[in-house]
Amino acid sequence: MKTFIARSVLFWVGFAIVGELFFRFVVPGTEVPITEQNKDYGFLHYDTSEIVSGYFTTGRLPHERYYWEINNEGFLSHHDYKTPDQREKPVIAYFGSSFIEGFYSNIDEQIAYFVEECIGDQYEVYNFAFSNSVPSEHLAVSRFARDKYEPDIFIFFSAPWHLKLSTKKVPFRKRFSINDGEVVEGTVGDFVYSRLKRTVKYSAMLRYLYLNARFRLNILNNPNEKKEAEENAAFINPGTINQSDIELREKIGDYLVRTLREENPDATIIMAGGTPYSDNYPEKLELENRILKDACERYNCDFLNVSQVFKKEYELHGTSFYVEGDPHWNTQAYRVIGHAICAFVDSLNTTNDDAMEVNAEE
Amino acid sequence: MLFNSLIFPIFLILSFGIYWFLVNRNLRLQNAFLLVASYIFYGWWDWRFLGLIFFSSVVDYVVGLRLSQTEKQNSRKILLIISLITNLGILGFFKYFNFFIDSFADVIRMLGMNPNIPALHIILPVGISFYTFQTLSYTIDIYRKKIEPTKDVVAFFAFVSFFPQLVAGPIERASALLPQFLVKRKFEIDKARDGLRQMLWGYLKKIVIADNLASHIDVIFTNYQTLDGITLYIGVFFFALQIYCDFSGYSDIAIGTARLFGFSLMRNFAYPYFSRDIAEFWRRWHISLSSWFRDYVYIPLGGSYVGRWRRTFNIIVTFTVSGLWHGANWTFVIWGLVNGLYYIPIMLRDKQKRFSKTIAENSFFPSLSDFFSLILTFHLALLAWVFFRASSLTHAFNYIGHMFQVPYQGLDYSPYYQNILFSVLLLVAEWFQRKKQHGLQIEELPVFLRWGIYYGIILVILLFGNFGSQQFIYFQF
Repeated sequence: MKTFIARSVLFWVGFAIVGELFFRFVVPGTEVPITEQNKDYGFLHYDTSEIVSGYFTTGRLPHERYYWEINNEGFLSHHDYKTPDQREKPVIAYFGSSFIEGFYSNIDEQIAYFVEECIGDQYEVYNFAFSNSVPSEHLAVSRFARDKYEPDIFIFFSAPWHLKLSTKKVPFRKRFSINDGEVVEGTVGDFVYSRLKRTVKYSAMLRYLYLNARFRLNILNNPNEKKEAEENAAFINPGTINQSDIELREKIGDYLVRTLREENPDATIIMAGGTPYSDNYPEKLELENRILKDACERYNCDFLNVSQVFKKEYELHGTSFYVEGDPHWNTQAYRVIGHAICAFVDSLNTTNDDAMEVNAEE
Repeated sequence: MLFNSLIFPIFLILSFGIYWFLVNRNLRLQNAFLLVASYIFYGWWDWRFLGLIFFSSVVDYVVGLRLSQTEKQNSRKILLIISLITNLGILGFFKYFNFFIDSFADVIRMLGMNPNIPALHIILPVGISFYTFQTLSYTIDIYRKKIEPTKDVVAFFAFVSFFPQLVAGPIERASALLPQFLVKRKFEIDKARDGLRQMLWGYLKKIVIADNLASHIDVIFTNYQTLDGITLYIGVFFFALQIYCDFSGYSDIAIGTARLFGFSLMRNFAYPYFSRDIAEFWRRWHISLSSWFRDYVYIPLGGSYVGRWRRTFNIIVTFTVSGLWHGANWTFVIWGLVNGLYYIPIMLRDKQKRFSKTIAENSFFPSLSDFFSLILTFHLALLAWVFFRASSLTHAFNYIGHMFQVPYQGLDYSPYYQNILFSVLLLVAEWFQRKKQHGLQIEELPVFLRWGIYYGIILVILLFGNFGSQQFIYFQF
């Protein structure tokens, strides 16, 4: 028995070494940065002191590889961010989740890159998007961005279920709640990145198993799984959303846009939304996006309908905007969104210029 | 609990540790632990159905003891009938109730009446066909005075519910497995190592081949009307590989697991697709079930010691019942019948044992006649598999008809290339190993080569395996 156990241990130690080498050099497991928390503002970003660049790979074989870099503020960007006294140009800052964060594209093929490609002579573009974040967190990051970088244009990307998700409690993430019928911002618990998790992230094989092969140890069948799936469906399907749910979303949408406007009275604010699912672009906006658009009309901000931008390009060139086997947006999507932002900003400038000319004539 | 779920390795390591380190000093403790572990294993799926196994075990334990206490033929018959009615009654209710009700309703409808017979929503308990047949063999063998009943209740309950083979076999005979529960098991390193090798081979077949083929097969069988003959051929070829890899993979894992605990289970598959006629195929496919039907259905009917017509009748009955055992659907009955029809000409010419040795026993390549016989037998099996996989008889006949009506349309076959390659590689590997008990019986190779092969297989499983925890096909039977 001792021999059997000794050999078994030796076998698995050997396999750990072989597997580590294999998934580091032959079939590289995805590399991801380490998360840390900005305790002052209550949002998550990446730790700039450890892993600051790498390759994000997708799939079992990993046939797609994207190079990423973390900048001085712990966000995905090909350049560091500069404070107003360090720079000469105004800043466009965008906020959102993994759809626009940029892991599914090389660092020089991000939305920021494509925007700078066309209006880089007028603006610097800063990416403050972060995986799994929702509008309650985008609000927190926008405060940090406002205080430190004073952006002139804020763009917020929101998936059609994110307003509702902003109320789903996660201890270390900023969430909204309703108190006496009013939206209140909750407090944020401390985020602790365990030593074990940190060590695990240095193992190529474990990263491959968890992130590429998506191994999950479901020791017990998750009884909430079905309920969660139904809830997720209800996030975007108005037919399954009850009236109180609609009112909750409307309150959050209203609070979000109103607060953004109040806190940034002189900035241009753009809410952006669309259908991050498939090459199917309905004319009608999803419920939450419609709520944001309506709120924008009340609080003097703009709405960018990404669905229609995608639809136009899809009809012209048949371009697909999704990573294979994954609902996330790809490089083509970033290019199209980037150019749409350029056009949008151009149109705003034109309108402002026209208004200034009219004022001058008067 | 599924062998291909991530919880199983944890369960296995814990059970292995407790079994050999904590309860290894005492036979009763060993058996009691195996009983508890087996009930946890089965209850993980649905604990409510543990009651059925328990009830079946109680009835057969008591019947077994009573059978040994009486010599009166009438009493013995009554006891046997109690066991048969209990076991087959439970099986019949859970598995065949709706089938017979529906078939009865169809007959009534054909007579021009419109019956209103409600169907029951019955969940089929996993593995019921397997453990029912196992316990039945116990009482029948005692009735035939082939074995003595055991008085050790814990050993008997552990024998009925032994977790490696509880839900999908091999269907063990009491005469082979029960005695192993009556002696204290000692750890044998060679047995354990070979058990692990056999498990690894089983996982490769199940996770990399069978589960990856499943999605293609579903699409092809569902949309057969829009596809050409080549694609439909690929579909049934894939199904032949899927069901083989799924079930023989399960058997390999079961046998390997049992060996880790010091038990020897019977071989269930012996490279059936390398058979040269259907008789050989059935000696190599699901051996534990084929031999069960031979011993408890075919031989009691008279076997081969009767006239030609009676023999033919016996064969047809045995194969048809075997088909029905697989599922409550006419497709399974016809599948059994088709195999019976294949078998009859061989049986009538007394050629059942014509191919008793492994193909190409003394050479690497088979003779030309053996090769053509192998190809022919494989395609006869393929034709029968269409009935097995189809959702109805109409579906099966249409599928076969469409295969020949539209043989080629120049469709894109590239989505199947990877799986065709894996299937062919598996068959080639098994051809190399055809004289061995399982595909990874490689203890004669140098250690660095063996470990290289193990590492390679684990990496292939990680890279190409389907980890959706798909159920084993034979769980439904």
